[in-house]
Amino acid sequence: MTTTWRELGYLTPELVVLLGAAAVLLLDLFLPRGRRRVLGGVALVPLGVALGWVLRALWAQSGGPSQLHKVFGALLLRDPYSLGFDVVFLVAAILGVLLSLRYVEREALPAGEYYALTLFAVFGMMMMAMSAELITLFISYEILSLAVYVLAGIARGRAVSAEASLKYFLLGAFASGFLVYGIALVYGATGTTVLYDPLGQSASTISGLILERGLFGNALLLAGLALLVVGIAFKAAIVPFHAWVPDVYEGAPLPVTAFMSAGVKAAAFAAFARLLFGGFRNLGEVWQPVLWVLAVLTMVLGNAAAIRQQNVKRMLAYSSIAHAGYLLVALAAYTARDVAIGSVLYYALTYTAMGVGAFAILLVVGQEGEANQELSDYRGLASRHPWAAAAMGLFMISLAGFPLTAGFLGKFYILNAALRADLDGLAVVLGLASVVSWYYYLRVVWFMYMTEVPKAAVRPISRATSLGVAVAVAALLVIALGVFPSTALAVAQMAGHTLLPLGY
Amino acid sequence: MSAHQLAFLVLGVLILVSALMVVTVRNLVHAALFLILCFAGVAGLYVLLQAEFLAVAQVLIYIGAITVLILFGIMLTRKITGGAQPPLASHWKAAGAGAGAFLLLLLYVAMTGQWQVSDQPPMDSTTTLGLALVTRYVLPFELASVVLLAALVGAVLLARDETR
Amino acid sequence: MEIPLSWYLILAAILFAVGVYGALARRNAIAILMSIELMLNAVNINLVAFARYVTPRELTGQIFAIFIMMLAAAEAAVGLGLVLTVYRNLRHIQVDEINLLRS
Repeated sequence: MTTTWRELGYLTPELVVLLGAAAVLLLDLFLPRGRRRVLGGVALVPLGVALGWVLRALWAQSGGPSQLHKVFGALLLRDPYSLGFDVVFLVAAILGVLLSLRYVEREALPAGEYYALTLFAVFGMMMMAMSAELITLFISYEILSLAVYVLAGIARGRAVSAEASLKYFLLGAFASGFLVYGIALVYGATGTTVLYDPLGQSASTISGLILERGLFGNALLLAGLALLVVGIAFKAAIVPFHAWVPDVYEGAPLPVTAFMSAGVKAAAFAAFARLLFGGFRNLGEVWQPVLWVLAVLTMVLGNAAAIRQQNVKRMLAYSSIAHAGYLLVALAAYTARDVAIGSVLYYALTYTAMGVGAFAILLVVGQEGEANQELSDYRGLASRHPWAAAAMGLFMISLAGFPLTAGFLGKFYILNAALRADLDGLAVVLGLASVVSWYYYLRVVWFMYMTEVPKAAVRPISRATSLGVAVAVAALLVIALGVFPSTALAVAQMAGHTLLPLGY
Repeated sequence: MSAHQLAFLVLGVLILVSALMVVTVRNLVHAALFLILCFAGVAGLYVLLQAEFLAVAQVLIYIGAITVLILFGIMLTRKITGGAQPPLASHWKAAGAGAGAFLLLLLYVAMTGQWQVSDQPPMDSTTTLGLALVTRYVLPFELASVVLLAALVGAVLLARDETR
Repeated sequence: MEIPLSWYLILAAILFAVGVYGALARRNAIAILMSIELMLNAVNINLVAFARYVTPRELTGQIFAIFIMMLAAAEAAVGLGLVLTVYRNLRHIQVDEINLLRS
C-alpha cells in the first residue's frame, strides 16, 4: 500500500503536464501584458517532454514483453494502453496549442488561464486513461470537464461563446449526475469500486465479483452500468446524448473546438474501453447489443446531419459525431479482443491528426471573429492558395476514408475487428455510412478545385508560422499513418493486449 | 415502528417536500431556502446512518458554501422578487413524464436489486475516513486539489469583469 | 439494522427523479443548477447507505460522498461564473430563450 518514489516515477508525464500548468499560471503573474504570447510556447514544453517520455516508454516495450504497473494500490494502471492514449491526448494538445498561438492573441483571450486550463484538461485525460477504479475515474473526468467548460466559454465578450459554454456546463453537470448514480449502484451491488485486476492477484474487484457471486442478472448492477454508459456517452458525443455538440462546437473558440473534438472524445473512449473490457467484460452479452444500437444511431444521424450543413465548422462538428459511431463499432466488437482495442487506439490517433488538421485549415482561411467558414468561402481556394487547398484536400479524403490515407486504414481495421466478431450487419452500416460521408467531404474538395471566383473577391488567408507548422505536422501524420501503419498498429495492438486481464 | 424508523420517515418527508418546492416555486430565493432545508434533512439522514463526519461536512459544504454561492448568484442576476416570468419551461409536462418514467426504473431497481448486507459492526467513521484519505485514497485526495485549482482559476476568470 | 436498506434507496430514487425533473423543466440556469445539486445529494444518500450496510468496515461510499461534495462545490463555482458571463452578455439567464445559435 505504500507509495514509493518509483511508483511516482511511472506518473512522470502526468506530473510534468501538471507542473507545466502551474508554471504557466505563475509566469502569467509576472509577465507584462504585451509579453504573454510566450505562454503558449511555455505550454508546449511540458507537452513535448511528456510526449517524448511516453514514446520512449512505448518504444522500449514494443519489442520485448510489455510492462504493466499498478500505481497507488490498484487505483491506476500504467500500461501500454494508457501510454498509447497519452500519445493521442498529447498530440491533440500540441496541435491545439499551435492552433491557439495566433488566435489567443488576435481575439485578446486571457493567455495564462487559457494554456493552464488546456494543460489541466490534458492532465485529466491522462488520468482517465489510467484509472482502474471508479472514484479516481470520476474525479479525473471532472478535472477534464471543468477545464473544458471554462475553455469553451473563455471568449467572454462573445455572447455565442458564453451561451455555448453555459449549455455545455448544464448538460454536462446533468450527465455527470447520472454517471455518479451509476457508480453508486455498481458499488452497492458489488461492495467495491475497483474495476478489475489485470494481473489476476485480487478477486475482490467488480469483474471478479460478477463471476464469483454470479451477478449477471442483478438489477442494481445492470442499472448502474447503464447509467455509467450514459455519462460517458455524453462526453463522447454519442447519439442520443449529442444534443450539445453542434451548439458547443460552433460557439466555442475554434482551437478549443479542435482540441475538444479530438481529445475529449479520445479520453471518453479510453475510459469506455477500460470500463467495458476490463470491469464489465463478463457482461459483454448484455452491453454489446446496446452498443450495436448506439453505433448505428450515431453513424446514421451524424452523417445525415452533416450532409445538410453549408457551414464547414458545423459540418465538421456533425461529422465528428459520425466518427464517434465508427469507434463504437470497434467497442461493440469486443470478442475480437486486442484487435478491437487496437483499432480504437489507432483510429483515435488518426482522427486526431485529420480532424485537428481540418480545423487548422478553418483557422487559416477564417478571419477575425470566426468569419469565413461557409462552404462558399472555399470557392477557388486551389488557384489562390494551392498549399492550403492541398492540405485541406488531404484531410477531407482521409476523413472520407480513401485508400492510402490514415482514415482508410483506420476504418479498415475497425471493419476487420467487426468481421472477426461476427458483426457483419454493423460492418455493412459502417461501409454505407462512409460512402454517404464522401458526399459532404468531397463537396469541400470540389468547391476548392472546381470552382472559380473573380479576382476582386479573393480574400487573404492567415500565414502565421504556428498554423503552418500545425497543418504540416497533421498532414505528415495522416500520410505516415496511412502509408507506413505497421509500427503504429503493432504498438496499438500490444497496448490493446495489455488492457485485457491475464488469461482472457 | 421504532424511533429510528419514525425519524427516517419524518426526515424523508422533509427532504422530498422541500425538494419539490425547490423545483417548482416561482421565487428563486425561496427555492434556495428550501434547498437549505432539503440539505439539512439529508444531514439528518447521515446521522441516522452513523456517518457523523459527513453530516457535519454536509452542513458546512452544502449549506454553508454551496447555497450561499447560489444565493449570491441569484442576487447578482435578477430581481429578488422573481419577476413575472413563468418558472417552468413550456415542455414541463414532457419533463415530468421523462422524470416519472426514470423514477419507475429506479424504484424497480431499488426493490428488486440484490446486495450483500454485511453483519459486521460499523467502524468509527471519522477515524476510518481520516486514515483512508491519507493511505488507500491518497491519490483521489490529491486529484481533488487539482479539481479545486482548475475550478478556482476558471471561476475567477469568468466572474472577473472584463473591462478592468 | 432497524431501517431496511431499500428505504434509503427508494428515498434517493425519488429525490434523484425530482432533481431530474427540475433540471429538465426549469427555465432559469441557477434553478437548474439547484436541481443538479438535488441529484448529487440523492447519489450521496445512496453511497452513505451502501457504505453503512454493505461495507461497514471500509466505508468506501463515505469517502466517495466526500469527493462528490467537493466536486459539487467546484461545479457550483464554475457554473455560477458561467451564469454571470451569460448574464453580462444577454441580461438574462433563462435557458430556453438562449437561442443565438439555433438561427
